[in-house]
Amino acid sequence: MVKIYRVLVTQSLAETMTYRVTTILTALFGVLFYAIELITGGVYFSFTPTIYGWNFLDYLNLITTANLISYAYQFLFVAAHEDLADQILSGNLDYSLLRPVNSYWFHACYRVDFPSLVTLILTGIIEGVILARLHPTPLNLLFYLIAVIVGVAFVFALNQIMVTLAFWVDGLTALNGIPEDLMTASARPAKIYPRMIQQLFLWVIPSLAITNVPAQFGHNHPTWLLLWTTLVTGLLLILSYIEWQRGLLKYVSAN
Amino acid sequence: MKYWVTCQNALLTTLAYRGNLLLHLLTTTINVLVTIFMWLAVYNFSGRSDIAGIQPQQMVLYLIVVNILALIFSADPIFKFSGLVRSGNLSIVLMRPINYFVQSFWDYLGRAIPYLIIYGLATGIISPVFHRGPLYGLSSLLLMAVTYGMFFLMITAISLCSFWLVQVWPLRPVLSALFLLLGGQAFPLQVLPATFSWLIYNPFSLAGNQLTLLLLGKLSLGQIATTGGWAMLWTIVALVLIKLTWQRGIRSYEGVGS
Repeated sequence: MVKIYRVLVTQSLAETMTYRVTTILTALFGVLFYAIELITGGVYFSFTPTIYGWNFLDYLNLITTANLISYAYQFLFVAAHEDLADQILSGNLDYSLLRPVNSYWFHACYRVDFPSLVTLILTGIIEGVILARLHPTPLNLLFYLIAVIVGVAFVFALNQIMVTLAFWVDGLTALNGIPEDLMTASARPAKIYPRMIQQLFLWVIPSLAITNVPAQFGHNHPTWLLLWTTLVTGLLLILSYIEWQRGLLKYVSAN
Repeated sequence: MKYWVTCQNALLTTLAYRGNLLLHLLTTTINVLVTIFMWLAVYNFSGRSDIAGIQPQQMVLYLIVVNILALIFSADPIFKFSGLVRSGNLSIVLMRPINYFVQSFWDYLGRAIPYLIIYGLATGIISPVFHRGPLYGLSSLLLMAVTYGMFFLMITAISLCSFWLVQVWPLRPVLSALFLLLGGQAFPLQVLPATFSWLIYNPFSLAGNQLTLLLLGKLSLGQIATTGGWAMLWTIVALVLIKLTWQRGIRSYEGVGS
């Protein structure tokens, strides 16, 4: 499997080098939207030093962590997910189903998006600087990294579930944008939302927990919510795998 | 009449994919709610009841309206025109007994009708625009019409770069970002320091920020005149750009697709 993944990554790199301008533009847009978030955050905190106990640096830590999760997902999986719905609808899964590989992971890891690696590295450097100023303990730093990995897995599972719906639903392209919008909405301190919304997105679909938990570890406020997000992410991954298996039974190999 | 059919078709296209339309509105609602809750927290913790002359309830209304305007002022004509140039289908359009730009305008209008109705209802029901005398009401309507035309022409002028660019998709995130920041979608431009006050006269701000403030009744008659003047100026700039680039673009267009 590692050998196959290496080949797929090499192919992705070759494609990236072919479309160099696209690569540069994609990286630039990632930086542009991050800069807009920074400016908007600066505007919020120009009127008040703290919001629900979060100062500007804590807020920066939160949005940078949310972007880190988002760019890591984009680097590892977004290109494959963008391709997958078309593959299902056009009946092109036959070629991978015939191969002696796990089709779920083969399609999930089919391509990596190298342009996102530039923004991922940049965001990682900025987050490193922020964490250096927040001084998390080594243990909290370890849990921060675990929470980020869980976050990437959570975003992957949500997107995988949405994309796989193409086995049953055709043409509802806006569905694929929901996880991204959900994660953008979650890149804010949980406490700004009314209690009911907080409970829903901390416990039922824990997208708020996914962004807020690592940020809390970053500024030395450990939370047990990490266990819950890990559990829910695991369940979502299992659900997406079952959905894939059911979807394959529905697949009729024709466009 | 032939253009009215274009408008109807564009509206039907928008309504044909109702699931996508509803999900689009849902995701827009989520984004608006995020910004609203964030600003309410800012009001709460700053202890201020007024930021740049905008009270909390007005800020909520501002954010809702400016996001509806972001849906009205789309950049779709750029990508439609690019498709025509790249496929070579522009030749077919040019042979038809129609003016492409007029048809494109009615198409633009048709696609935005659901959102225009929402904006119109908000103006008629919530806004004080029509309670300030006929002159104010008429000036407001004129400003809305001029700004709508100006933005369409600006987008059309930008779309003509398709004659020389193979891919125009990078313009979509750039224009979204410009509307977010310069159009006042992320925050009202009035909250910025006074040194940035000139920003309110950029085309994105006229379409987003200024039309929202108009609906909130925050523009005086003098300000409406100034904003209208700037909208006219940008309209002239767009028309000149279209005139210059169309002739050159048509000469470089090969009509065989790429």
